Amino acid sequence: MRKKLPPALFLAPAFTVFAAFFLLPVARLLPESAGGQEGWWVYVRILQDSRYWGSLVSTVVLALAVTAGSQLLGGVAGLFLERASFKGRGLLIAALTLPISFPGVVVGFMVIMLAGRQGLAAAVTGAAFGSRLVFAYSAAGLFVGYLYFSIPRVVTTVMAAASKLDRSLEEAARTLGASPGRVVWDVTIPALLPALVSTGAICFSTSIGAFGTAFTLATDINVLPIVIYTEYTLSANIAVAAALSLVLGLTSWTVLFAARLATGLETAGHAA
Amino acid sequence: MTRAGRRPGERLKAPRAPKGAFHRFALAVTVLCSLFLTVPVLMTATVAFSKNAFRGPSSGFTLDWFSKVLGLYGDTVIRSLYLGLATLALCTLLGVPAAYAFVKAGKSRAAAFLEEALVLPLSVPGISIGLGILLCWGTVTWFRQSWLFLLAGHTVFCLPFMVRPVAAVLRVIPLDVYEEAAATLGERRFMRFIRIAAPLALPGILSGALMALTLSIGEFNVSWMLQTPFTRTLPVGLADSYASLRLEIGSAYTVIFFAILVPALALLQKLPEMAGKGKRPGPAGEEPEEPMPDTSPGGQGARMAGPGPAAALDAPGRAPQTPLTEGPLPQFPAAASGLPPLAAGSGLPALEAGPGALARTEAQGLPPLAGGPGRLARTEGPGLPAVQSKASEAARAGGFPAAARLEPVPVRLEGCAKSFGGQTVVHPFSLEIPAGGKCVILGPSGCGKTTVLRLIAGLERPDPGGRVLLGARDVTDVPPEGRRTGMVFQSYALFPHMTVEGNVGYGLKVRGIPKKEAARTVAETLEMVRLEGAAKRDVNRLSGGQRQRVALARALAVKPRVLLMDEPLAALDALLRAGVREELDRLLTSLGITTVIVTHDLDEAMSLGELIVVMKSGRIEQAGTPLEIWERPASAFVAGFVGGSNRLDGRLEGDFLILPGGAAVPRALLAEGQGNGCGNGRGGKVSVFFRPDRPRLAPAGLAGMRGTVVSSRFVGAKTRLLVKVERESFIRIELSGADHVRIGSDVGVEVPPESLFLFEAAAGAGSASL
Repeated sequence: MRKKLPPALFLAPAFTVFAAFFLLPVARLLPESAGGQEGWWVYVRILQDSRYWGSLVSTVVLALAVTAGSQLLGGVAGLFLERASFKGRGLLIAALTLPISFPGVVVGFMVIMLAGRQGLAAAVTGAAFGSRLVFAYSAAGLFVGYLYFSIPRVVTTVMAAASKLDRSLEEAARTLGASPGRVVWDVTIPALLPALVSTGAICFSTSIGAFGTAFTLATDINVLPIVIYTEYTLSANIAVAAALSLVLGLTSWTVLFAARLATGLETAGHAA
Repeated sequence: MTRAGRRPGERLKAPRAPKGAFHRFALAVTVLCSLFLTVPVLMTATVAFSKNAFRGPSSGFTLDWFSKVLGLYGDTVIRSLYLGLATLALCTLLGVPAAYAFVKAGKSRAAAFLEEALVLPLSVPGISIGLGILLCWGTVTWFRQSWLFLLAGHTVFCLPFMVRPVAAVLRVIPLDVYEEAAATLGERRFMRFIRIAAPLALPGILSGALMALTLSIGEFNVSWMLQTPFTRTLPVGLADSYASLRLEIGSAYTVIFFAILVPALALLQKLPEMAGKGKRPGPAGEEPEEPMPDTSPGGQGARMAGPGPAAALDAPGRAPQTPLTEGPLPQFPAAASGLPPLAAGSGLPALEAGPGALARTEAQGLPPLAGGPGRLARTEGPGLPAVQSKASEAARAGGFPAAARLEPVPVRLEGCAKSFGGQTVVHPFSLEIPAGGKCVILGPSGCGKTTVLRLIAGLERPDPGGRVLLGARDVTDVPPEGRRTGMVFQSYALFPHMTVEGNVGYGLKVRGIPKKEAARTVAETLEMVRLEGAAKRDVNRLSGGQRQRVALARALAVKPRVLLMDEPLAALDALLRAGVREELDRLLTSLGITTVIVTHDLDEAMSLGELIVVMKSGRIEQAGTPLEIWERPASAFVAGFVGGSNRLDGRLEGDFLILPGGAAVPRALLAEGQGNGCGNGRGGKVSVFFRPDRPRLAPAGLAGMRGTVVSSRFVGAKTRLLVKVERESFIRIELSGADHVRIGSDVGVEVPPESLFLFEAAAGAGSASL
């Protein structure tokens, strides 16, 4: 029985650091959130104040839209890249997966390059229609930015899942009379479903917690991480900032945990 | 075979890309996505080197922006680098022992919980963690103002990326066994970790370290919350430059960031490939062929496994030598040396070519048929009606409901070849299987037999020129879904997300058969395979035998015109196999369906097939009835593969065959045709094959060959002997019953001359052609 116990000696250093700089700080958020004038009512106020409530809703809606969009684009691209063989496939794979760990700020800058005042969209539309299209600093800009860091995640996951897919399943469906399109719907997508659910959860949770992109774009919609930051630094409203942090953290963790329970796949890992 | 359901030949092929509308759509989406991701990066690089962002490269090339960035933000670059390295070091020091502890803890729930906890920082947004750390530790001024504050945040954030890969690597190796071995050698626990576990986990540590480094260098959310003006990191500086400075400076700064990050990322992507390289066994699809069954344990046996013996028979244009060929046999030295025709009666009368034969093979390359290298072997069916009537008779007798009876069609392959990426897997061949016939394709792994099956199913297209016909219809260009073949895959390929019923009914659902009718067919089919009660069950919870029957039922439910089975019994354990085989044989016979079965197992081939096609290295070696294959192997390969024949080196001298030890057998006593066409040149050397059940033991000195009994084993119903007849030649002999032969005793071995098969000697010419 003694052998079954984890050798505490090997775990101790890691858990000391972990407890000191994660468990303790996150636990600290709880009393801090109740430390304001309203005490625990702060959580009720979050739900009443349209500023906080509205940002919560817009953050979730944006994250959902990004999740759907990236699943669609990344799913098609990932499946295609795993299956097809053509010249330049390696290059496309590199292009689609390398941006996976660009930090959010850099992604924000990429959006500025695409849709900012001196960006690609502005230059193209300016030359074609005379009016320059600039949408980097709006909800659309945020959407594009979140898509930017979500697509590589979906592509990587779908490619990995598709490579493990037993091709004879699809062949069996073909010999049973299903057309290629029907096979995708009846066999391929169900087989890829766990991967899609898990990568969807990752995209969603990364999007609701993304701070760097929104910070760089300084957009006109207030997503939750920005609200937390401004409450803390500008309004010195520590209680609300702490309460929102907890709500955000709990939401993110719940979505990831639920996806993992449902699929049995790893769902952690965000950096945007 | 690495994965169930994949044959070696398949791995060679580039995945088949359907060049339809979906293909073009997917390509467009992929290219658009990659442009979306890369264009801004390229724009950034262009702006960084241009004098003016607005006018682009035409404004001239400059490096000014880089020097400006280094002047303004040089400190952030340096800080991020050492912060990254420190994070890497700390994560390694903390994470590797932790991962080791988790793995050692095995299934302990406490350990699983702790491991879960350690990964939590990945599920919580950085802004929340940052705020927590700030509120918790911000009052410790010296700490707050030093870069160690950031290091703490980064370490917590990056630690899971070290723990996970290291634990994953350690979990797939038998760590305990290695450690126990080290312990018995006197290594203590801590040193076991250092000298055994840590080196074994190196691939995991390497990928974890790279991950920690890149994440730390790019980390922004936590860093932004924790930074002070004296502890700005690269991403923090980037955000600052984006907000306040010219586009050119931001771009140059971003380019510097990419220059640091991208090489590390590229290396990270290459890691798994590099780690995998050492383990991969040889080039794909080049699995070594199963050595021919051979009793000689010496160097000859090893040579037999190679391409040697059959090489002469494989030479381009040469036909596999079949005893039942139409027309005259090629007259080789036997005739040249003036031997009289073989004595009638010494052959095997029962096997003479004639109306009684079920299938007849025609050897191509003989003068009358010289046209086209496309036809290597063709089986014709003068005896086919016999097969058919036999089948339908049985169907009548079998008592299956009329609804279950299937309408069989003949299968014809004409000049079919298949190559993948320039490598020929199946050489041009033709084959005809009569309606209702049961054909077994037999051969060692990698011989191309599965490819033949896939050609019939439409899962592969033959190389240009080949044709596939089902009945009278040319289906070469028909996709698999239009062919109505039923295929049972080696891995069964049951859809894991459907029930038994869902699987069996899938083909009907796809065809739009009304639900009621489909349900009835499913029930009937399940009854046919005796799975009536299992309709609602989860296919993942079935036993091997049940899965096999579901796969068969699924293939049969669509009332296929041809049933194709890829190693249908290979996935079953040996105990089950014999029973399932008999049942399958009964079912197939009663259904009367045209069936093609692929197997590497001789027993299976003999007991299921009416026509057996022996393949080797992508060519048909022989096609014939089980009796023909057994009694008259057409090549050294067939002789060796079928029936585990003994092989000896012999010599043809005039009218005699000289066996090892000098025994001489008059050629007139050999079976009809044996020895023709071989032994010319090289001193008349030939390979002599005979089955282990043929020799008789005789008192030493009386019989032709003498030897010493090396081993003697009673294996139930028969006794297996190994007799050494020459310095390096061994003969395997099977005697019926329990025959007590003393090991070491001298015996005489007598082999009836008519049971000898002669082929060109193994060594020498011909091997170059393979």
